[in-house]
Amino acid sequence: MATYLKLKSTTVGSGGASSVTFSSIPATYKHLIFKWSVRQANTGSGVTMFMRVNGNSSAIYASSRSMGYSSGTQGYNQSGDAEARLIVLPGATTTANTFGVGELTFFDYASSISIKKTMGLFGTSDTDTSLFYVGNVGHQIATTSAISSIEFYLSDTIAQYSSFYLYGVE
Amino acid sequence: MAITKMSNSGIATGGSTKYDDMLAGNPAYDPAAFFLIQRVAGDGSATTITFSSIPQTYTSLQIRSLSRNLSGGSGNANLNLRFNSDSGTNYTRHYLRGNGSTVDSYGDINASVAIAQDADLNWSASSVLKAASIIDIQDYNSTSKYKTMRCFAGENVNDVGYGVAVAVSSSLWLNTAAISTITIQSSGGSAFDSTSTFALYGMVG
Repeated sequence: MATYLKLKSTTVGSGGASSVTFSSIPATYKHLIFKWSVRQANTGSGVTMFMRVNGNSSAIYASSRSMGYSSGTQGYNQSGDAEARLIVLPGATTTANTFGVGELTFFDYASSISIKKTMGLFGTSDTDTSLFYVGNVGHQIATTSAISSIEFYLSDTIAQYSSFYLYGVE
Repeated sequence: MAITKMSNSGIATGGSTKYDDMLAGNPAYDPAAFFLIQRVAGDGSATTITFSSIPQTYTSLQIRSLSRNLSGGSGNANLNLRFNSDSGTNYTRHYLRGNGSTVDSYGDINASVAIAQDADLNWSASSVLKAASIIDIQDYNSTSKYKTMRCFAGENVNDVGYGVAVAVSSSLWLNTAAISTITIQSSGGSAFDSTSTFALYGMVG
């Protein structure tokens, strides 16, 4: 039996999308792995991608990140947030056709005992060194509910061709 | 004549078990999403590892490597990658690295290779030590995107100052062509030792 399975995927079509949601996630796996290749349309550069689980907008999210960028290195921590902060992505003012990529693992996402933990890596490159971002990220999500849906969004529209993939690990 | 009803009531038992579902006691088939495409080992003389004719049927690629080169030195090294044999200055690279005492970052543009920072090792003192890395290339077959590569690598030879690092690096190939060939070299150009291994995987998405 396979131990690493594709659950869901989405590629954003013409006109972009305001958010991407994976819903009805089965609770039959041990971990979830989320992969992305994303860009923001219309505005910005160095934009942050946000995430919520189970439609929960309460202050249950804590985000940590270490990052290398044009001016050096940076550590970041934010707790008691209404959304999880993932990564830094290219936006409309950065080089065309560039997309930020990354991977995030949700550990024991279906547990009814543990609060939820994530860990991941990301990278965003450009032809302008001031728009380089690479690093790792982790979250604590203060809920003991199984994760059955995950929503991803930016401060503006998600650009066409952005792709999202969700895998289950047994 | 169309089948409008099925029943197992008439099936001869003869010591056999009757099932009420089509699986008949067999486990459900779950199609895998992670496939080995090719595994290549160093041979002690070749300076280049090549994955060619990469199938275009996956959504992302992953390379897992254990690497040591035969430069005879002592210190950290990187893996240099080229896509579709493009040797033009079409790559940008950057990394975040820690070595046990300091953290640094770096980036450059107009490079002729992509970089997997600290994914190779110069270490003549022992052949059993290697740098380990996982390299991901998302949407490698998209013709609408420049390709962004991401690498997580580490090496530790139980020393300080040399051969100790953990790094996250990312490179951009400024080309929308689908990737069909990947070549890998040690940053110093030396041959890979015969126990270095490079495995290419495809992921369905």
